[in-house]
Amino acid sequence: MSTGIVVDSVTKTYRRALSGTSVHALNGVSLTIAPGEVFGIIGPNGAGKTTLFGCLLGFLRTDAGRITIDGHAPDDLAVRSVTGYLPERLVLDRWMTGRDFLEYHHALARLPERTRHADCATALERVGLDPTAAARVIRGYSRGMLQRVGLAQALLGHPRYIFLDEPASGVDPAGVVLFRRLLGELKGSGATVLLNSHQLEQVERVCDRVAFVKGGKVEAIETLAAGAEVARVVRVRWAGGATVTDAALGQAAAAAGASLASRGNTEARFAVPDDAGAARLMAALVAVQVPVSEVTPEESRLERLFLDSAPAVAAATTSPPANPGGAS
Amino acid sequence: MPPATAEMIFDGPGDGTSPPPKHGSTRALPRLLLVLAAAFLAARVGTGMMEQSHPSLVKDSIAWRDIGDAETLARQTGKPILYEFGAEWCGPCKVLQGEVFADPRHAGTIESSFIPVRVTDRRREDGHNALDVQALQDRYHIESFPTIVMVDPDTGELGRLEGYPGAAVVMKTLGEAASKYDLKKGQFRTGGIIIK
Amino acid sequence: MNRTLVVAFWRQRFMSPFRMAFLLFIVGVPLLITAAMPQAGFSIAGKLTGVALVFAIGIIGQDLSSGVLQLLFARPVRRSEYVLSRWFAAGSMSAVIGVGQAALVVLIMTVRGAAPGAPEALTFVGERLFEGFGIAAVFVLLSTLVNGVGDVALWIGVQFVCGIGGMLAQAKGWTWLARAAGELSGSMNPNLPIAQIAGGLAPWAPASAYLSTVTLCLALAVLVMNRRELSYASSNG
Repeated sequence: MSTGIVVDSVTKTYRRALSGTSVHALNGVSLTIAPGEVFGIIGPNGAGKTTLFGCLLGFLRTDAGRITIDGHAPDDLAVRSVTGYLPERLVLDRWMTGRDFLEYHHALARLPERTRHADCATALERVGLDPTAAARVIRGYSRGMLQRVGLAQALLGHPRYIFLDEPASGVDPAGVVLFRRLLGELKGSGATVLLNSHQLEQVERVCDRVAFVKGGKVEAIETLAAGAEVARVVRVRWAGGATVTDAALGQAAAAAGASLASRGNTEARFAVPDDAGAARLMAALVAVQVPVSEVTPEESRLERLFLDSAPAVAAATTSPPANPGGAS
Repeated sequence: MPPATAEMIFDGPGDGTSPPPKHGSTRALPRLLLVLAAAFLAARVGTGMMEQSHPSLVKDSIAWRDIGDAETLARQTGKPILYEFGAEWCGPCKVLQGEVFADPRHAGTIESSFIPVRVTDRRREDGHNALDVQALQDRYHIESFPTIVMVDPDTGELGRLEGYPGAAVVMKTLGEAASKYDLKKGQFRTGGIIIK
Repeated sequence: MNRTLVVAFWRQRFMSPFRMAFLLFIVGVPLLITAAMPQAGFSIAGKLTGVALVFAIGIIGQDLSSGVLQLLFARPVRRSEYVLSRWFAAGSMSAVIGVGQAALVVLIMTVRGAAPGAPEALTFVGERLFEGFGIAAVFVLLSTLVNGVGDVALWIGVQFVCGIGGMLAQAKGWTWLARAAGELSGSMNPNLPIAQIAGGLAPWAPASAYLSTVTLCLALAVLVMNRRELSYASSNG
């Protein structure tokens, strides 16, 4: 039975023997991820997100605190059996073909041999890698192809826990669309997904909750509306003195597929699905004779977390030997 | 959670027909290996000490030549002489014998490069040495056993090894002495065949 | 032991053109020399070190430096399983090729009228079997200590230091140093001296030395791998 992920007061410090310095990568991080949740982790560079992933995957030992996945340590064999992982720095066995690589990981995951061929074919199809490409040696793969193979191996065996570290990094727009679709499927499958991504729009679109990590601490956890469309808010100003009715604004919003969030005397806020929606809204407002003078996008909720944390802190907290508990 | 998603959450990997996953850390120590390593290490120390104090008798693989024939044979074959000075009571001599002279490969290499002569001290057993044995010990100032001395019959000592520093060092030293000899004589040796 | 890891290792090594060219050279040249000088016997084929190095160099260090271990250890694979599978894969392939080469040497010597005796041939083959697994164990340990192919530099370095130590011991008459240098140097090339044992040497000491070296190397390698942290975050800070 799946009981989720519990991170309790985890601390991780990197000590450099030669230089005598230490880097406090995680400072008492605590969070709980429920089974079936899609949980995002965002933060500035050097915040400790990759270290947190490393601890959750059992690659790094914590100095203090405890992590359990389904009630077991992260490096337990049973946990490994239900885990899928896509690292940010994707390093695959370059001498293998894409298919060989998947079959290799299928075997390492101790999945049944008799379904190996079919499972790998399904996984390749799912990530959009055609059989010809899969038969080529990985050494000749583009970044996008590597990412697809990496994602395919992470999804083998329908893992219960999936760790995705910057899955859309370096991927072309078609890959980003594919990734978005797969994330949606994973969300619907009931798997617990941990997503570390700088693509805030994607995070906002798919995640149930998001943790903002900064300086090795969880600064905030935002609960996002389940299944909500990523609404981008644009602020529209019109010439002062012009009379603009609610009806006109509503008509323009409906025509553009947007929704009116709020209005004032000389401005209104609209939620639009994307940039194209914003463009349609402008056209619709002009059509209903609203004298638009300015259209500006508002920051998303997650972007506001980054902005509210300015000025950005240093990537690491360093402690020279004289001050072992030195502050950041 | 809709029924379709519930079906996709398994207690184990794959399609449920695989065996349930084992528990245990991926960093578990293989106890059997640790026990064996400790046991064999103890055995190594123990048997090594025993071998030092009671070396086993080992059949030689070298055809030792008589002292009187050594110089003649050396001039005939173009090989230097290898004198091995030892004694029956000498423990390291037994180890040298076992690890170097009894190994057919080392023995083969030695015989192809030298005229091997064993010079055994008998003072403890007999009270004195044979005249030729004593003469050689005096000529080369032998003060401990084992001592290996490589000799060019015309020009004298090429090199020596006192004590037993291990088979690798012994063979390396012998090889260097043989090369020095060949260089002096302007000859080249391969596979036991001398090419001038 | 993990069959998937063993087979993958074999495939990887055999697909390396550089390693295979080197293997062909060190297996083939002694055969040619034996054909020319069959009376030289088994001394031409010599030790199995070269063959073992083809498979053993960078046996773990290359995985560590390339970064493939992150995905591997995200699977239900024990680290000890990985280490022991690597050892078995390299040792067994070295042993198979070593035995094959030995068989060819015997064949060539027989054809050229210098057939070795059965005991000598069996001794030679037997020693090669143990040599392959022995050197693989040493390299498994050294490879966990240095990334890439630094293990071979470490291996050469240790033997060089032992050589210096041996010469110093000889000059100073320090038996303890001579013994230590000899033991350490011998541990870098573990083998079972079957010929000497057949010649009357008591088997206990050499057998326990060989087994001790192999098991200690493997145990230490597992301990080192267990301690290793596998995250580029640990190198970036």
